[in-house]
Amino acid sequence: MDVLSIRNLKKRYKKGIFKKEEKYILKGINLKVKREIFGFIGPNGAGKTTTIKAVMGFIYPDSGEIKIFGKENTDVSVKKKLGFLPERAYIPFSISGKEYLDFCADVYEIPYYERRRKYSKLLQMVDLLGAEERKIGSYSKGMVQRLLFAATLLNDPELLILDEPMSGLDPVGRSIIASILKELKEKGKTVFYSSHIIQDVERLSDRVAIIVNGEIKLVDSVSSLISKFISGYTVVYRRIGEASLISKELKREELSKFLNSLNKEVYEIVRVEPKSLSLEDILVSFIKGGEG
Amino acid sequence: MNFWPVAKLTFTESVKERFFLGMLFIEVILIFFSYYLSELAAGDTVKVAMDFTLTFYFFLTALFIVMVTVSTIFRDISEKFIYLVLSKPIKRETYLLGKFMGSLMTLTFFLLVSFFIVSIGILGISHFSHLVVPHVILVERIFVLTITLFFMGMLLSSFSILFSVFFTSQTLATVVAILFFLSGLELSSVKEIALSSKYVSSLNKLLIKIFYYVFPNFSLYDIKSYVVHVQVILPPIYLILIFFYTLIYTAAVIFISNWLFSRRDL
Repeated sequence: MDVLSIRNLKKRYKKGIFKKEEKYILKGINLKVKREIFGFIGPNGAGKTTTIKAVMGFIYPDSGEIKIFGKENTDVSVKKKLGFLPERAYIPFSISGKEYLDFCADVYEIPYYERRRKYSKLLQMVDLLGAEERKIGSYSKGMVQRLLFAATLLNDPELLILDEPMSGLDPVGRSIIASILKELKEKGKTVFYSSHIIQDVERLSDRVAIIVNGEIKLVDSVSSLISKFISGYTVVYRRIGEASLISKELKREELSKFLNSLNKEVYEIVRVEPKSLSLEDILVSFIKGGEG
Repeated sequence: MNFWPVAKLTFTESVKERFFLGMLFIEVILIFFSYYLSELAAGDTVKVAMDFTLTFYFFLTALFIVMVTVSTIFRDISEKFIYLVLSKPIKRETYLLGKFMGSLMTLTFFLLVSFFIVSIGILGISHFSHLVVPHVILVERIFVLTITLFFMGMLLSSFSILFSVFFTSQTLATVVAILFFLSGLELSSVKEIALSSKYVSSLNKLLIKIFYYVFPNFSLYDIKSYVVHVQVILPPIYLILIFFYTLIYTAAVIFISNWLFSRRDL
């Protein structure tokens, strides 16, 4: 069973004073997410946040079907197994970190005797232990983001949906969140997240989907995607018996012919390095393709 | 339907806001101000001072509940805190009910503190003016007024929720809620004048009657004269009737708000 499945999701917005102009933000999204870390990438305004809002039931799609653990996404029982972190989220400044955690614990009906142990564990995980009694107003952006992330894990969710979880974090904060995501993956949890920090997506995700202009352009595993987008090779070789190395850059289609020619002559191949496009290059090529 | 976490958080958040303390501070200032204003008035200065104090109490309570309810909902929506709440096993209607209950808890706390401030103020005024009314009667009557103000706040809070859900601008929702309150306060006097006037057409009389019955009647909660004038008697049935009036009206408004909110994109 898919953890999250989205079928033919469409959403349009009406513009203008009389709301006569219509613009499709999502043009029939189809996605299936299994137990994995799934990265959702695309340029600004591509429809990432709108998709996530629809999945969470904050907006109503014009058509399509969203199922989480095989149930309708609006089913409240589904949300017991779910953790969500919106982009640039806010917590009332006048309350303390602990009061926010208490609120989450109240919702999930976590008994009082268990709370202290859970809070300590989670706060330690995000390096906020000792800051929980302080008012949120005194927290930095990164601290708020880490507190929210910790609170997201309070109910031990099976599925985490994160919208730009790394935004507002410094490198240390990013590394903390990245290591928690890896730990969650090891525990068999599912993480569906959007990010514009492509290096993180490349490093953490099992599979990615690229969305451009409200359409899914590609869904694939990161490794297969990068291997598909090999633009060429660097061949390092030397004349037999000589120490000095020679290197040559080749296009993809030139490789086998060149290697054959080396074999026939008095050269030995030292190494062949593929020149892959990074995920970022792949994304940019899709964006440019979409525009052009 | 577990609205308690949302109600508790709304209460915690609201009473820790500077606005809460600010309103109580303004209340104290206005009580002092009432005493000096009464010195300028002709006639029974003690009654005028008490009337001023209670009028400020009445309007500050209305302003307080509108501001608390509208701001707590709008802040949640505009700052996306609502996403964090609704991503948990909380239905939209539970959220709205929690916000309403939290606002009422905040109002209860505000009224409790205000009751002490106003009672001390009124007793102070009567002490300095050598008033003959026994203090216990005055305090008891201020307490009854405080209860009616709670009912008024309950109804006004439900309308504030309705306007917060209906409008997409916080300023607009606040202004409409305050104007709505003022209209509801004056509607019975307008009705009396219009119905007894021979210059108002029968169609307009009918319209005013319809408005009168559809609009909430906030003047029902204005029992200042009962506190100021000892000879005015308030039968207990009056309190029971306005309790049911408030309950039914509030339930209907919350129901409509929920209906609108459950269909809205956030």
